[in-house]
Amino acid sequence: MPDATTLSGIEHVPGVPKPDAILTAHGILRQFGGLTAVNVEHFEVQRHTITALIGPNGAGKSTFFNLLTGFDTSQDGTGTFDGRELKGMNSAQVARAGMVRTFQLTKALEGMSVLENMRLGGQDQPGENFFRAFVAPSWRTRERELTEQAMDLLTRFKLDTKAKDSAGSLSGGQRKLLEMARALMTKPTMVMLDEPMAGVNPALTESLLDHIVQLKNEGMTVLFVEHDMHMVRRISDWVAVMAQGKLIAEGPPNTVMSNPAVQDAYLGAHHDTDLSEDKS
Amino acid sequence: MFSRLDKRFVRAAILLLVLCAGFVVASLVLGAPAVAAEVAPVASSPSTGTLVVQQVINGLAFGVLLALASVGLSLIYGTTGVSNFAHGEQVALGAVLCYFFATTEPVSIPLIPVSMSFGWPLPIAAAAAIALAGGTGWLQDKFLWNPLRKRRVAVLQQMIVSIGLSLALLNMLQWWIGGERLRVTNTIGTRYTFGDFYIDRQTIISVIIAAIALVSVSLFLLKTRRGRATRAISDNPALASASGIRVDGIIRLVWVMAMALAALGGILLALYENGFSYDSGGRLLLLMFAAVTLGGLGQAFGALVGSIVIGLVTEVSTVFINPDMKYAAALAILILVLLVRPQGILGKSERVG
Amino acid sequence: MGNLLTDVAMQAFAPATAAFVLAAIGLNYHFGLTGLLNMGQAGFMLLGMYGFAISIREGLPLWLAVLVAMGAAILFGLLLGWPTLRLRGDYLAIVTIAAAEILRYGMRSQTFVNITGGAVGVPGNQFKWVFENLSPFPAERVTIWIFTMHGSKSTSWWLVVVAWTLVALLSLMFWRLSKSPWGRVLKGIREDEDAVRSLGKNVYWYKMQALIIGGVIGALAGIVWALGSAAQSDAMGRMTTFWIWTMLLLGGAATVFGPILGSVLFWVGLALIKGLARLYIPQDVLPTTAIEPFSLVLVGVGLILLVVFRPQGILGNKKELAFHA
Repeated sequence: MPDATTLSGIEHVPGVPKPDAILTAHGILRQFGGLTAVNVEHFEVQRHTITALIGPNGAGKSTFFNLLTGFDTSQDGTGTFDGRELKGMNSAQVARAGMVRTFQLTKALEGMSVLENMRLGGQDQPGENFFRAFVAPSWRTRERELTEQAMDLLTRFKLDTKAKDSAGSLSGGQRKLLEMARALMTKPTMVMLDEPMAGVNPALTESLLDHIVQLKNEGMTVLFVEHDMHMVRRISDWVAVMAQGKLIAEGPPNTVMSNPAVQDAYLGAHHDTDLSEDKS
Repeated sequence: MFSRLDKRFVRAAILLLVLCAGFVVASLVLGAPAVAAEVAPVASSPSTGTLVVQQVINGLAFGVLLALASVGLSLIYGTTGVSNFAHGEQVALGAVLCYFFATTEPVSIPLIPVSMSFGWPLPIAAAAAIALAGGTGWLQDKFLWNPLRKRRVAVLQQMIVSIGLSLALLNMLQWWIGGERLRVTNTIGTRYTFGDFYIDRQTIISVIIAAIALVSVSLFLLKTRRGRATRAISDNPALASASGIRVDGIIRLVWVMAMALAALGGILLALYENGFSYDSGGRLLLLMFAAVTLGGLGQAFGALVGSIVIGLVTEVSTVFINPDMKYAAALAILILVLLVRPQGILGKSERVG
Repeated sequence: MGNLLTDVAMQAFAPATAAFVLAAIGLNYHFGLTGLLNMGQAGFMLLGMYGFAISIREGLPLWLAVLVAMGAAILFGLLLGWPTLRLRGDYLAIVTIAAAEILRYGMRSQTFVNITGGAVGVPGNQFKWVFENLSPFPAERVTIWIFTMHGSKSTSWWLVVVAWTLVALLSLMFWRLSKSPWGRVLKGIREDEDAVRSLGKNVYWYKMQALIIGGVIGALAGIVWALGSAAQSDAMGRMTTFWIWTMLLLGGAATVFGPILGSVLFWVGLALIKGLARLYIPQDVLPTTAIEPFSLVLVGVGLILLVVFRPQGILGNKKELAFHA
């Protein structure tokens, strides 16, 4: 069950500050030619929570997501992550700072084995430096440590038997899990999931949800972009809604879902049409 | 997260500065005197201004001819995404075929030990050359490019296929006509002079023919149904296909047109330069890429704009640097453009990196 | 016929072949490991060739001349990579070709004839002697088994020994690096840069390292080539780069022995075709002057077939391919 205790008492207003924000963003503006894709005044994510970023198609969620994770640059704005200034950080630096992301179209590196994929996620491997790569003893120990860490994670995600197999031989769902496990190799403080449920067959959904909740239990913060409202309702502590590039609502799942502004955004403004309420 | 757009301009500016400074220092301190300085001791040497204007004239002419040769490259890239490295050889092929039919010297076809001689009038020979070249376009698409697309071969892989084709074609041309420089026509054209400036009659006619061809291509692209379909495919292949356009048929047509235009370009360039050799086209390949990239990859009109710019840079640069470096100047422009505005002058601002 | 076989077999270990193996090893870092479409490898070879020859001519000792050549390659790699490594694949191909051609035009130009010798290049007697003087082989033609070559001058047994030792060392180095975590990062980049970025690696810097290392090896290839042939720019054009690509793809990109196999097969095959053509195809069908272009036409066709039907080459692994639909 979602744990909303730390966020109780917070006003359900878009851009509301949080008591212990791990991620903040202010004045984020992203334009493509004449089109304003993202124009978010203020946004904060509470530490140790699972936050969902939702909104209709074209709302700018993916663009905003890319901006937050350093995979896109905004024309204007500032932000902080875990106390550090985000300005000027590229995607790799953001990842090293502790914010790791996954991709909607899973990027399992199919040319490598599952285990190699995992080791690639490992941090502080001296062998990744060109000069030290020649001196095997300088990185063999770390490689063993990373392999251990990898096997632990793979076991947790039930991929351990596939360790030596090529990542290309995994099913779509298994690749999703691999990407998540690989992301965890970086020992992140915050995990950003880009439509984790996209293309996942229903049989896998439950186990995926469990894994995500487990992340929170281990002390990480999670933010995910999703269309799957069932998932949003099930596991998110907090929901932020975007439409037409702006943040239009924030709050616990139930409150947000029944917010008329949110319903308008999804259904279009049919003020004079009598819409029968459909609480799913 | 935050804006890095300005960094590209800064990078390009610094690079340009470094390169220019390096070149100037190298030339002044270590190099041999440039052509202009050698001319200095002569009493009535043309002023820099005169030289520049003459080269502007030459550059414009060369640019128009280059445009003819490169518009096909742009069309192919636009519709199929393939950078055709064999396009240079296709240009040379035009000149070779025209020579084959026009010359009164005996000629033969590789592997066939029979000598023949045609000696056709230039326009007929040219027409035959262009028709045959268009035929090679048809054959290429039917037996090579279309099957590759059907097999969903990656675009970069297709690019390397075109490299293999370039290797094969270049050597085939050398095999066919040998290594010497040949002339398509042996007539020495009249040269018209205006004060300090000149232009050859052949150049004027070539430019007019090229202009007519380019205008025809433009009209085709703008006014005809097939032309609009071509532009639609360049813009958004999936959407074009979904809206009922027969993409394969259009691409076949594009290949035929591109090869025919390249051949015409090759013939006119051979006339303009008063000669050609088996590698004339290959030498132009990078200039064509420069022109097409400068104008906007995939934009046929961009190829025209880019070609004029490249033509001008190439010819005008000879006033200031040694003519054997003129192609290097054009290529430097190419690199600079790719740094500052990879989508070119007319291109759309999509992610190129 | 016996002579033909000897000549063909000599191609297998000729210094020129070794030079191309080295160039292909360099390209293997670029394309095989990292997926970079470097179409300017001939440019790096050019820098090595001229850097070395000019340094020797100006009186520098051998080891310093080699360092100068390598330094020029590093500089060129930095200059080339800094703006272009952020560009998409086929853009990088075009820029690298253009850069290599600019280098070639520059080296060839009369503008710099005082340094580079213009179209003639740096004459062999101005730079080969230092290397040749180090040779333990006699200064005359020597026959080992059925092969005859000069002991120390130009294409010589000495150069054969040195060149192939270099090949062995650099192949070993490639093997070590490709199996290391460093190599793993490059292979990740080859397949999907964004995935690697999301794991905190500085993709741009890794690509730059690959470009520079492969380029330095290309410069070494240029030195070997020049010692066996000439320090002259005509041999280092666009087509040379295409040949190197053919060799690498033939042998198998991303493998340790691919460059060796590819280069040897290329040169042996070429010599065989030319030899057989000369012997068995009548002159009126294929005149002597046409034999070389004829054989290269076959190379071009071969490259097409290779890329279409077996892009992983002879030794390569289909899963590790850098081509993605």
